[in-house]
Order: sequence, then C-alpha cells, then structure tokens
Amino acid sequence: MSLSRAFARRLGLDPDGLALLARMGALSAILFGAYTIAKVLRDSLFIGEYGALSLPYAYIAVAFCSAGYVFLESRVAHAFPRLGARRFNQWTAILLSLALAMALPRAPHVTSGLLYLWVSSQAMMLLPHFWAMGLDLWDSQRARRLFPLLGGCGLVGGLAGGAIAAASAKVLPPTGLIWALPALLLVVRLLTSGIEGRHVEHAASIPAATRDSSWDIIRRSRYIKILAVALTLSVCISTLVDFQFKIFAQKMYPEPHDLTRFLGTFQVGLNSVSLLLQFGATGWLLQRLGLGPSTGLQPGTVLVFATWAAVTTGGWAVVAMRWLQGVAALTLGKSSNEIYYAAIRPHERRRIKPALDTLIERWSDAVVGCILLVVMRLLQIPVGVIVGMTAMVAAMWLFVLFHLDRQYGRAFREALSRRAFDPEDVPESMRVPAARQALLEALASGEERRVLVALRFCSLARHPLLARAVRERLADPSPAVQAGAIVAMEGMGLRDPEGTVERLTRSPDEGVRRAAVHHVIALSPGGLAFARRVLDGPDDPLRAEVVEALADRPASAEALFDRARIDAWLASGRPDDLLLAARALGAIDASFAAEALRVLLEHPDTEVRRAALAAAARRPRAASLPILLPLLETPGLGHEARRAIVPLGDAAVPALERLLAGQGGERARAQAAGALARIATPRARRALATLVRSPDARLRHLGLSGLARIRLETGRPVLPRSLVHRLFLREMRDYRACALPAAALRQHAVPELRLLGESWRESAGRAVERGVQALACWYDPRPLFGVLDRLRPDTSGDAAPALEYLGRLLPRRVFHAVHRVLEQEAQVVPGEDQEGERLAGWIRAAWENGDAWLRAVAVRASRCVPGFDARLFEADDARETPEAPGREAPEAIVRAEIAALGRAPVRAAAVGRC
Amino acid sequence: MLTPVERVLILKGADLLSEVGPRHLLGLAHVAQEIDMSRGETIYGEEDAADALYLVVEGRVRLSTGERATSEVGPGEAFGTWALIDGSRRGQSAVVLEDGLLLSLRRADFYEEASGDVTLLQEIIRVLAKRLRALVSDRPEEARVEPEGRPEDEESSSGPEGSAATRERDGIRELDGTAPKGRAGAASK
Repeated sequence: MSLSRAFARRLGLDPDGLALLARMGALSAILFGAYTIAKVLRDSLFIGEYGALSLPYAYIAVAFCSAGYVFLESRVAHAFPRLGARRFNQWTAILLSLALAMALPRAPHVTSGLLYLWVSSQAMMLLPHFWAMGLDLWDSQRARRLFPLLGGCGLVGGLAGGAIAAASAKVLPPTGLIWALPALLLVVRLLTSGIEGRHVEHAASIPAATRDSSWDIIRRSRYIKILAVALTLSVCISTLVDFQFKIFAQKMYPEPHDLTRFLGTFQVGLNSVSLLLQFGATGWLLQRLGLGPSTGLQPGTVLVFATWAAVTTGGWAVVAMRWLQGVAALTLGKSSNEIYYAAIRPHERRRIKPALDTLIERWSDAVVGCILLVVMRLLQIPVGVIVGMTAMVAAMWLFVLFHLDRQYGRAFREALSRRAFDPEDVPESMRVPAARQALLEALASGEERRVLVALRFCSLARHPLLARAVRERLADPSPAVQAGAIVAMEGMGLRDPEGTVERLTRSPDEGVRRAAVHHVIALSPGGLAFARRVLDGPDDPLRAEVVEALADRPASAEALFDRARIDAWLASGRPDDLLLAARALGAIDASFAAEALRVLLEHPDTEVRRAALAAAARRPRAASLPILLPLLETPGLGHEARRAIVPLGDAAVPALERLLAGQGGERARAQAAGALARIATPRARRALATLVRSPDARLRHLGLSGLARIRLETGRPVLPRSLVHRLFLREMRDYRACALPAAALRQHAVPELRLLGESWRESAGRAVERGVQALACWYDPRPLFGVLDRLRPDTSGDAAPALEYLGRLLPRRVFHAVHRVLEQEAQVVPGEDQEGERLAGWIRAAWENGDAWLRAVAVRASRCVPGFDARLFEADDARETPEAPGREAPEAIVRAEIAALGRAPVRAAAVGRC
Repeated sequence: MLTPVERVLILKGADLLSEVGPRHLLGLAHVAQEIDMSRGETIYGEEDAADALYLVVEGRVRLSTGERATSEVGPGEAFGTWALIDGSRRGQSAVVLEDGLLLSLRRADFYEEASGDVTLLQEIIRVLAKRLRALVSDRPEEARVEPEGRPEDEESSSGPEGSAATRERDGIRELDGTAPKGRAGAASK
C-alpha cells in the first residue's frame, strides 16, 4: 500500500479527495505567502513613511475602504453566482497590486498609504473566500482534520513569504519586492480555477443563494451575532497586541530596511513554530479538547502575557505576547474560527462570511484606532496602560467564547430536531393579526387548496370576521370546502341558526354528510331528536354517521343506545347492523355492553371484529383481555387489538410480559412491546427494561424502541445515564461488527455476496437505531431523530452535524469510542478484501452472528467462495422459533438454504452468477 | 421450489424493489408466487387490469403493444412493475417465448405486506422519486404543468413526439423498466 493511499485512508479521503486536498494546500501556501509579503511591505513602508503612531488613523481609513469594497462585492455577488464573486475579487487583487507596483517608485509616500489600505481591505478578502471554498468542499467533521493541514500549508507559505521578504531586504528595495505580489496572485487565480471544477460539482447540492441581505441573516440569528462579537473581540486583541508590538519595533529599528528585515525575520520565526505546532499538535488538540477550549487558548495566552507585561512593563514581554498570540491565532485560532462557521446554513454562510470577516476585522481595527487616538492623543495616557486594557478585552473574549461554544452545540441540536415540532406553537401564532389577515385572504381566494388549509387553521384563530368568512364557505360549490367549513364551524363553536348545516346532512357527498351530522349533534339544540329520527329511519350510511358522532357524547349515547336497540341490531345479523352495534357499544357503559361486545369480538367477520376492537378501546374492560390477546397475532387486526389493550393499563402488563417472554409468536411479541410502550406506567417500563440487556438483538430493539417512546411521551428519562451509555456503546460495537463487512462487500460483483453485504448493512442500520434509541432513554429524543437519520448506513446524508451534536452531548470517553467506530468504517475501501480467507471470514461471522437472515444469506454466499468448508453449517443447533401463522419461522429459512446446498443452482441466470 | 433467499435475490431484479433492504424484501418473498409458464401462453393482455408484478426466473417473455414488440424480458428481469402502484389497464401484452418460471407479486399481497412496513414504502417512494427526477431532467418540457381545460393540447401535441397519451404511456413504461432500450437507458441515467 503506498504512502499516499495510507495517508488518504487516515484522513478518510478517496484518491480524488487527496488530490483536491493537495491542490487546496498549494493554493493555501501561495495565498498566505503572498499575503505575508504584502503585510511585511505594508507595515515597513507605512511605518517608514508615516510612523507607528499614525496607525490608528490607518485603522479608521481601512474600515471605510473595507465597507466600500464589501458593498461593491455584494453587488457583484448579487448579480453573479458565487464563482463570479470570487473571480472578481481575485482579478481585482491582481490588477490593484500591478497598479501599486508601478506607482511605488514614482510616488512612495502616497503609494505606501494606498498599499496599507489595499492589503488591509481588498487583498484581505481573498482569505475568507479561500476558507469559504474549503467549507463548501468538506463538512465540519472533515474540516477538523483537514483545516489544520490547510492552515499548515498556509504557514509554509507564510514562512516562505517572510523569508523572501527578509532576504530581499538586503538585495532588493521594496519597489522590487512588490512585483512578487501580482505574480503570486496570478498563480492563486490559476490554482483556484483548477479547483473550481470540483467545487461546482459539490455546490450543486447546496441550496441556492438566499435573497436576504447579509444584515438580515445576521440580525435574525443569535448564533451569528455571538460569533460576530467573538470575532470582533479577537480582532481587537490582535490589533491591540500588534499596535504595542509595532511601537516597540519602531523604537528598536528606526531605519525602514532594518525594520523590514526585523519584521520578515519575526514572521519567519512565528510561522516556523506555528508550522511545527500545526502539523504536530493542532489537529490532535482540536479533536481532543474540542472547539471551545482550543479557541480559548488564544485569549488565555494574551490574558496571562498582558498581565505579565503590565507588571514588568518590559518591551520584550510585548514581543513575546505578540509572538505567542500570533502562534495561537495561526494554528488553533484560525482553524477553530473557521469551523464555527460550519453551524451556519451553507447558503447563508456563503453570503455573510467574506463580509463578516472583512468588516468585523476592519471595523474592529477602526474602533481600536479611535480608542487609541482618544487614549493617547486626547487623554495623554501612556502606552503601558494599553497592556491592561488588552488583558480586560481578553477576559471578555473568553466569556463570549464560552457562550459561543454553547450556542454552537445548540445550533446543531436545533438542526437535528427539525423533524420534531411543537404543536403548541401553532394556535398562538394563528392569533396574531397578520395571521388572521392571511387566513381571511386565503378564504376569499377561491383556490380550493388554499381555502382548505385556511379552514383547518380557523378553529385556532376564533375571530368574528373569520366566523363570517367560514360560514360563507358553506355555499361553496366544492364539497371538500363545504365539509371543511362545517368542521371549522364545529371547532370554532359556531351554531347554525339558519339550518344550512342540517340540510347538508342529506348531501350526496359522504364527507359533507359526515361533517354535517357531527355538527348538528354537537351544536344544534335539536341534535338529539335528529339523531333519534335517523336511527329509527332506513338510511344505513346516515345511521352509521350518527352512531359515529354519538361515540364522543356518552350522555346522548346512553339515551339512544338502549338494550332493545342493540339487541335488535345483533339479532338481525346484517353486517351493517352488526357494525352499528359494535360502534354503539363503544359509546356506552351499560352492564349488558360487555357481553354484547364479547360476541362481536369473536365474530368471524374481520370488519365486525375491527369495529368491536375500536369499541373495546373506547370502553376498556379488563374482562375482555383474554379475548383481545390472541387478536394481537391476527393479521390485519393486531394494530386495533393493541389499541384496545393499551387503555387497560397495568391490568394488561402481566399478560403482555408473558408474550414478551415468547409465549406467542414474533408478531405478538412486537405488538406486546408496542402496547407496553403506550401503557407507559412504571410497571410497563420495568417490563420493557428487562429486554434491553438481552443477547437477542430483536428483543433489545423492542425494549429500547418502547422505552424511547415512553421517554418522548413523558418527557422524563426512563433509564439511568450510565446504563444508557453502556447500552449505546454495546450497540455501536455491534454496528462496527456489521459495518466493516457491509462496506467491504458493498460493490461486490457476485449478487449473493452483495446480498450478504446489504444484509450486513441492514444489521448495521438496526444497531445504530438501537444505539440512538438507547441514548433517547435519557437524553432529549427530538434531536436524536435527526442524529439517527444522518448516521444510518443506508442514507447518504451528511453525518457531520450528528457527530458534532453527539460530541457535545456525550461524555468524552463515550464519544471517542463512537467516533473511532465511524472512522474505522470510513477507512474501508469498497472492493478490498473481497476474495480468499477474508471473504470466508465474513461468511463465518454472519453464520455466528445469530441472526437467522444473516445465517441464511451466509449459507447462500458460501457457494460463491471456492473451497469454503460447508461443514460449518452442519453444527447448526438452531432451535425452532414460533412465528406468525402463514410465515416461515426464521430458522426454517436457514434450514431451507442448508438443504439447498446439495443441489446445483439451477436458476443461476436469475439468482446469481456463482 | 425457490428458497426465500433465492426469492429475495430475484425480487431485487425489479427496479422498483432494488433499493429495498433484504429483510424487508423477505416479507414480499413470502407472499410471492411461483408460476410455471409455457411457450405461446399469454400472461396478460393489453386490456387486462394491472394486478401483479412479474419477475422472470427462467425462460423469456415478449412484451408488445398492438403488433409491435417493445421488448423481451429474460432471467433476472422484471416486467409489469407499475402494477404495484397503479391498477389501470396494462397497455401492452406479455407472451411467453420460452418455457420457464415466473415469480409473481400480486398488488393486493404487496399492499397487505407494505401496510405493516413503512420502511418498505419509503424505499419504493425513494426509487420512484429518483426515476421521476431522471425523467424530468431528461425531458423537462414534458414535466411542465399544463393549464386545465384545454383538450386541444392533446391533439396538437401529436407530431414527431406522439400524443400526450402516448407520452404518458411511454413515461409509465420507462418507470416500468420495459421501455425500448434507448429511452429506458436515458430515463435511468
């Protein structure tokens, strides 16, 4: 295996990905090299021409330049796609650097000032564009691993740039060195073009750019606002430290040539150590410490050194502070700052990042410039006090970082919880005037779909204007709208004095009729008389509607469904009458109802039994349990039987426990677990908890899914946290055992082996599901739904947000175990290990796994491995597992395959190729 | 008699079921039926209701519209896939060319099985969505929603590309996996 392949595998990249990384690394090196040369030239020329004490004025001027350029660039971004904006930025930089190189010998004083403005505003925007491109190419998890490498390449470039600047000071005047800038920027442009081909392909999956302005995006996001504050403070720190450093440097080296050499050498030293750290420790620290502590190292360092410098008042303490702050900023600070952007939606990130980076940097500089002018010129405060000010800002930065880190975790949590919404929010939102106006407009629109949606929300709004608009919809020609209007009227408690709704009980449309019957019985003063008239009449469908409507009104039902009426329906034997009787029994508590219901539950007609089960669910009676339990296994009735058992509560638990223990078949066991999850009493919970440690994965699945459901419904943890972690790790070990063969066999040419791979993958998916369900027994289940969606091996979703969230949720040791499992999977290259002993090993593992389906597929796949010793299957001690009627027991499938081993694959063309 | 694993392998041959996990297919394998076929036998006619999906285990079947043969289906291939979704008439006939064996999955059995397996339905919807997206990107002009109440559209569309009804039928056949090779290939691009 070549070194590059091993390196790619370690980074979780394919060969194409590695090539892309190499191109991005080269781009980073040249870009940062050019920027370092530009910075050295900028500082030496400016300080030489104007002096370090003029820097605050420059900071303010740069802020205005940056604002103007960002405005110009946003116009270009609006008019052209993203690639156009980047290209525009790079060509502008090339042209401006050319112009400045030509102007410098002729007008050095003015050009030095202009160079300062250009390097600090327009040229600086090249860097955020580079990182934005990186974030589009890789997700946040990959970014943790790859950005330090890119940063390292940037440092190599910076090192080279600093060395070139320092060395050229001896032989070249600044007017010569400046020509390196357009040349290097041209190379940057060419490299970017090469990468953009890959970039465009990736960007196709990114939603189109938002129409909101950058300001709108920033204003409505608390996370972005905190990020902006954190960036602002980081820039303030850098500027304050840099200012003190430059004052000291000018004092030490008054000659511009000496200053250029000193600054170049300083950059070399800074970048060398940063480089060593970047390749040696940054990635490891980011992975081990996490984002918050990694980013916090920078303000922490400044806080310590600023305090030291304030105490000692020594210039070299300032140099040390600048140096360490620079190292921390270039290594951990840069990578972690960029990763914080990953929590912003890609289309919004694309819009705001360059502007945010540049404007914050420059306006923070301007603010610092203003403060310095006030402090030094007006108040005549000595430079030493600024050191104390720096320490204070560093402390503030640490505080904001703490909040930013919490918000970062919350951003992923919200993104993963999107599937779960809070229905309580809807009624409140419908009561605001704007929502009411929107409903009125929709009701008057005449568009059926819009009207129906509006009608559904009207009952939540309740307003006289809406009431009138809803009543008007009764005359709508569409039956769906009529029915919707009646339902909305009932929801809003609107009576019908004109009798329009009662007339609609004779509508030919079933939906309208049903809604009208419900409305009349619920709200009309003559509702009971109407119901009696219909029940005594011959109209079967209308009678059914009336019985259904009375089901939720026990007082009226008791008056109408007397024993004589029920007996008459039972005696007639007509299916329609039996259904009416079953529905009516669900509405009354009379003593004769239990016996009548028992008769209907044992009726051979499935529809009658289904209606009787619905009645039993409405009027739970423990005496019905022996009849209900066998129906759990009856095809087509299991769901209804479970719904009838759940209201019995604890009374049903012992019987359900027996089913869990295997008294019935698999179907009954699953239904019993479902019923216990819905009963959700402590006793039911304990019954389910006995399953979660079972060696049988199917039982664990039933137990964990049931408990997770209880956790969701009750909002309280159902298992201890430490147990949840242990269960999660166990399932992830199962996942690892399944995921490796799944990945290795994913693209196998032989269908039987591919089927084995797919079966492994399915098992891996189930293991992930169980693992996440285990976590949901203690943690909030809503974001975990999103985690599950992204971690399933059969989905092509981006797993990074799920891992970001889990990284924040779980204790470090638990998360690292999981992370390792997923990394291991990413390192499996499909197509490898497909032959020989490795393949036989996957088959043996499938056979020993214990899952009947995997065993059966393993037997089948063994035909395709020449020389495979089939005597392994002779040791089959599988016992017969009871199953639902009409189904083959799981072990019977295995035996069928073993029996077929002896015969040739006669249907080879259709079944497989081996 | 095919084993359950063999049945699952064969069911995977139907495009509509290709993305469904093996354990979910096992449920369908249990309800699928083996049918022996003889040369010259008509499996279904153009006017018959589409009520089952067929997969060829052995032998060959010719699919025709009127007198025109549209395709031939051999071992491992499926036909009549659309029957699982839509109960309209077949629109083409299937006649046995070589003796062999079919595996048939009736729509009623399919729905009975799918009613208890949401994942199975999700996977099928995913495949359908993918196929529709491919069709739309391949022929976007046909994906346009035409305003209602313009019956003349159907008449005026008959030209080199054929009538709207023909296009609809072709679209179904592409989803069905039984379109002439060139176009089916384009649809599954």
